[in-house]
Amino acid sequence: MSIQDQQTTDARERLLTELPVTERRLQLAGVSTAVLEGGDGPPIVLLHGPGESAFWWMRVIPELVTTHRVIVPDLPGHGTSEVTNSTLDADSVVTWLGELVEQTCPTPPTLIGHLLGGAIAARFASDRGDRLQRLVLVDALGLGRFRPSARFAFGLLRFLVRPTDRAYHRFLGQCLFDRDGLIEGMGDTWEPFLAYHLDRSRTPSVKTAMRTLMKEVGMPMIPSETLERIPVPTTLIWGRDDRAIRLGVAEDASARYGWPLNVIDDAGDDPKLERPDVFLRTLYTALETPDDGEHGGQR
Amino acid sequence: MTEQATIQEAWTEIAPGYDEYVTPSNMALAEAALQRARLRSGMRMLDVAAGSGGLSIPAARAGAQVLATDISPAMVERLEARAREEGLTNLGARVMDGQALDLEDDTFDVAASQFGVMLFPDLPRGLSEMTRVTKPGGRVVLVTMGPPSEVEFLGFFLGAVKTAVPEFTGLPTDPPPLPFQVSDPEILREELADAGLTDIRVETANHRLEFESGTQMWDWVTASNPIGAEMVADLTAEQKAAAQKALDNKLRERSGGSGPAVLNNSVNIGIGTK
Repeated sequence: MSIQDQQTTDARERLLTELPVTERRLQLAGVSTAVLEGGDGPPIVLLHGPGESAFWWMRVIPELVTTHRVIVPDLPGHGTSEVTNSTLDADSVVTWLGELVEQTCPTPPTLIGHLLGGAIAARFASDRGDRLQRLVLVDALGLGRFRPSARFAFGLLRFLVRPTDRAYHRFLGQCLFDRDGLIEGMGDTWEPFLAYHLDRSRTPSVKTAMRTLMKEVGMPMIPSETLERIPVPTTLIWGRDDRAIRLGVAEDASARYGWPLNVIDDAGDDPKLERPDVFLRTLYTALETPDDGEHGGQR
Repeated sequence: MTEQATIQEAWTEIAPGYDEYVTPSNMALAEAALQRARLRSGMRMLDVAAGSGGLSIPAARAGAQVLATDISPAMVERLEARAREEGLTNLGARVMDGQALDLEDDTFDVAASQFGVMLFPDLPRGLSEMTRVTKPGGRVVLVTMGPPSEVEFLGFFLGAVKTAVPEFTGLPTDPPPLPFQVSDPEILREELADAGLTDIRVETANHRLEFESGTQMWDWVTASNPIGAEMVADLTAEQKAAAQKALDNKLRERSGGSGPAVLNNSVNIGIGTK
C-alpha cells in the first residue's frame, strides 16, 4: 500500500470511529458496495451526492440511529464501492438500490436521497414504490433542468479540471452557505473528511463513476409522468441558498406534484451537512406526518 | 454578490483582452453568419451579449441599424470606441442583461448573438428574450461553439496544459461547461424550437483562427470567456510558462515553422424565424 493509500485509509478509519455504525460489504447488482449500518427501528436508507461518500451524512447519522435502523451505502463507484460487473445507467442503479433494500431492510424503508442520490431515489420510488414507506428528496437532481449559478459553474469547472486542495476548498464555498462555519462545526473531523474526499475525487475510477452516473442519472430531467407515478408520501427538503439546484426547482415540483416543501435557511445545497440540527427537526417532522392515504405526486 | 454582479465582474475582468485578441478574430465568422441570416442594409438588428463588437461591427458595416447590448460596462465602452473609430453612427450600445432585455416586444428584424447567449446559465430565458423583441417574421440567430472534439484551439490548449500539469483532467462532459451547452446541433435546434421559432436551420461553419505564438493563443483562450480563464486560474507562473512553451511547439508543428498556425474550429449557426 502506498503512503497516499495508507493516508486515505487512515482518514476513512478516523471518520468511521466518529460514527455509531458498522461497515460491511455487500455484492449488489455487480457492485461491491460498502454499507454503513447502525441503530434499531424502522429502516431508513440515505443516498449521498456525486463524488461523495456515505460520510456526507455523518452529521445526522448519530441522531438518526437512536430512532431508526440507518443504512448508508457508498454509491456505485463512489467512496470504497467498486463497480465490478455492471454498466452504470439508470436501470442498473435502480436494480442496485433494489438489492440493497432487499438485503438490508426487513420492512419498507424511508428512502432519503441528496443531489444525485435524490435522482436515484426518485427513479426507484417511481419504479418500485411498493418497496418503500416514504421518500424524502434533499436538493435533488433530476426534478428540473440543471442551471447552476455562474459562480457555482465556475467553481465546479475549476475543480473538475484539476482537483487541487485550493479548488476543492473554493468549490465547497459555492456548495455551502457558510463553508467556514461548517469547518468550525466539524472540528477535528474536518481534516480527515477533506483528505478522504479529495483523494476520492482524484481517483480515476471514482471520477469515471461520478461522471457516468451524472450523465445517465443526475443530469437528465426525470419525466413528469415518472414522478407522478411515485406512490408513497414524498417530501422535499431544500437549502434556501442552493446555487446548484435552485429553490425554484423545488417550488415548481412542490406545486406540480403536491409534495410538501421544507426550506432550510442559511444553507446551500447540503443542509444536512451544514445545518444538521435544523435538518433533523425538519426530517422528523416529515417522518411523523401521518399518511393521509393520498400518496405520491398526482394532484 | 448577486448573479448578475458575478457575471458582470467576470466579463469586465477579461474585457481588455477580449477586445484586443478575440473581437477581431470573430468578425469574419460574423459576416458569414449575417449573410446566412440575410441581414440587409437598413434592417434593425439587436446583438445580445455583444462583447466589444465582433458581430455588431460587421452588421453596422453592412448598413444595418444596430443596437448592441452587453452586461459589462467595460465591454460596452470598448464597443462604442470601435464604432467611433470606424464612424459607424448606425451602431448604438447599451449595458443590459440579456436575460431581461429592457426593450419593447416585436422591434427588431434580426436578433443575434455570437458566442454570447450560448454562455448564459439560463439559455432558454435568453433565447426567449431575443424572440420576444424580434418582429413576427424576423429572425433569431445564434452562433455557438461546435462539438469540443471539432474545436482545434481547445484540443491544442488543453493538450498543452496537460503537458505542463499532468493531473489536469480536461473538460467535464456532463454537464458540459457552458460554452458547449449547445455544441450538439440537434440540441441547439431544440432550444430554438422551444423558444417558439420556426423554419429552423442549424448549419455548421468553420471558425478559422490564426496564432503566431503560444503566448498569443494563451491570451486569446483565457480572454475568450470567463470559463477559459477559470480553467487555468490555479496554475503557477512556472506551469503557465511550461504550457505556453508546449503551445509554441504545437503551433510550430502546425505551421511548419513559417507564418501563423491555422486552427479550424467547428461552429453552429442556428437561425429561426418568429
